[in-house]
Amino acid sequence: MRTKRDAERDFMERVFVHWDAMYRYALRLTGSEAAAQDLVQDAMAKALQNFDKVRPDTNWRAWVFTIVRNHFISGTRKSGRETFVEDADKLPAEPEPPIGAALDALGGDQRFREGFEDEVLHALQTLPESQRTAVVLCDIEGLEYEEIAHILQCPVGTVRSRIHHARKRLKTALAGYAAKRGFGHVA
Amino acid sequence: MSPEKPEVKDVRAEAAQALRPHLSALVDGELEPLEAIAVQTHLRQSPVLEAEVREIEKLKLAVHLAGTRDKAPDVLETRLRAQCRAAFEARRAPSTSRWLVPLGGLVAAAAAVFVAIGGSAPATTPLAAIAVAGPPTIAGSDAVMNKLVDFHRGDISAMKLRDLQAAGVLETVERVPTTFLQDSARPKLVQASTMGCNERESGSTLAVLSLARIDLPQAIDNALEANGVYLDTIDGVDVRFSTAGGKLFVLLSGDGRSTSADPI
Repeated sequence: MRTKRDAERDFMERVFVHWDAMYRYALRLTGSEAAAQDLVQDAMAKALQNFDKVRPDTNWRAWVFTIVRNHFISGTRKSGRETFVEDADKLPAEPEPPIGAALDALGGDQRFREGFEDEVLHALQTLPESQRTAVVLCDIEGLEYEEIAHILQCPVGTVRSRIHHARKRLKTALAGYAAKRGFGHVA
Repeated sequence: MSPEKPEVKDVRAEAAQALRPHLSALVDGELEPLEAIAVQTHLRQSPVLEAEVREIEKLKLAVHLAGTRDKAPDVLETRLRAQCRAAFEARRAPSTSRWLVPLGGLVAAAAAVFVAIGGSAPATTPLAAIAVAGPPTIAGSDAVMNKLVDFHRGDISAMKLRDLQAAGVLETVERVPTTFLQDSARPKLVQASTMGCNERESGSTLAVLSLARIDLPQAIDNALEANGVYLDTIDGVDVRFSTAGGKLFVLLSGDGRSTSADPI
């Protein structure tokens, strides 16, 4: 039988260890450090409430991201701050702009790299929430499509499509930044 | 000009267009093996698509680097840990009060132990002689600390600590010099035994308690976790808490009684 001490240890080992990943994801969702901290604390409280009700073989990492997202969505739907594009696959096709040279320059100029990273984060923030979640969890947190599908509650094929569309949009946004600084396409 | 050439070009363009949605999945390693082989076969014949794949790889890396650039604030971790601790503390509260400690049977034998303090792991504790009888409990925390303070002041004898020892809470207690911590940076070995406690002539008291047998207040727990040390004053006695190897080391100094007040 699991004692309360064991439950605490299990919680810390399975759930709490993801606290910084939760924060990173919350930061990308909210776009504000203070709001992200509040969101993580609320999500942690939710996780504490429900930890005992979840099967031990649960994918805990996906579980905590689900809590963060659900809490964010319920909060922002009330405030109307976020626009949710659930049907991202039906977004109009956009031409894929070239940003190859700008990406190549990332390894060199430190100031360009930092500016470019700021621009990447800004561009992420402009994505519809479902695309942002897909690309953040894939590229920043390293989740597999199946885990992301579980979090977004959609088929794996939809995740694939959302990541594809998200990257197209990111390229569009970043190409503008690169072009302003004299970087074009390297064929 | 052959009429077939534009058609061939269109077919290739169509194929490229059809493949584009799969390139991200290829970069993420999310294509089925046969899909991946098919896409890679096309890529070898299309430098444009190959360049797009390289771009996606770089974009993925750029997003990763940007997203992991800023570290989560330490203060958030501290706050979350406190939140978790408080939640589990609250769960434990209904069944047992915070400072309840288990009480075993009385043990006559005092244990001679070697303990190390000051940061290094303590030596093993040969406390095998403790016989545990029934599992009744006694109120602990405040009572434990008050007893240690009384003992430190010389108000009670070592015999009065036997119940704590029997319960497995107090492993050992020893008089030590006042300069115990100050006169050497190196961890000290102290042969400690309640049997060896005489009148207080050395100024400080070192008690070693079992962390497994005592449920510390959250504030002390947090401070120990964050700093390794917690300082407090109980009835004017300076108390220094530190932990190592499952032991709680409590060093008591000063007696809190005024020595300079001379009411003339």
